[in-house]
Amino acid sequence: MDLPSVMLANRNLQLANHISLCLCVCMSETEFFKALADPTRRAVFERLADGEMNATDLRQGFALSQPAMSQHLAVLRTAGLIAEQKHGRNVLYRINPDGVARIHRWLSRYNAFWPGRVDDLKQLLKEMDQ
Amino acid sequence: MTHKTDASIKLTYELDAAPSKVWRALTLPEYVSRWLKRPTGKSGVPEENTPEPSIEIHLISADPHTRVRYSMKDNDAVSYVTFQIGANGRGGTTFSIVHELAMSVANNNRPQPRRAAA
Repeated sequence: MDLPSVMLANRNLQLANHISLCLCVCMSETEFFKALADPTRRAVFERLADGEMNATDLRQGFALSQPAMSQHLAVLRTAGLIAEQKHGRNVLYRINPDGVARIHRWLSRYNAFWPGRVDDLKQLLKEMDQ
Repeated sequence: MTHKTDASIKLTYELDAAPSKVWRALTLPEYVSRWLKRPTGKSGVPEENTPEPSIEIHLISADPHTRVRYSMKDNDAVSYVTFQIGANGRGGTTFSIVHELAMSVANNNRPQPRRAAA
């Protein structure tokens, strides 16, 4: 019975390493979490960054009803940020590294995009007639 | 705004030009194409080291001289950008950009996962 939990812990560790690696590539963790628009969703997501858990454990410490938590989880899942896996009757939620990477790519692309565009806007404004 | 977003970028700049002029640069297509959506090769100044996404933009709404909103589509994501302007009291313009990645649009060719029972 010990083997699955060891494997699980190992997988969590791999996942955590993967995520922290992603996070280091282009921005700090804080910047990334700030980018997630809804504060509650962000908090749920941050908690899952510590490791996979079921909806009941996840709800600990949040003033959220079960339907509200389900809603947040559904939104995060639709966004591709988390994934769920059934273990018997238990549903475990975990961070989906692909979804996290997708948002990272988008944020780094457009954080780099705008300064150049605004420089061009300033140049255009100089060239325009009043 | 009630739509849900995955992530957003918020930027604010001070521009020397007056708001009315900035407004034209932000809304008239011939100007927009000169700074926001630069067709490659047109300006004669190729940007070799900037692998910028090729983007398609569409006007969503405009609140004259205040706010204009566009949808932006690149190779793998749809996003929404809102430009807001206001006089900065010194003859120039405070210009803010709010760029939001749309929730899950990039995944819409994938079957939606079944909704878990509450």
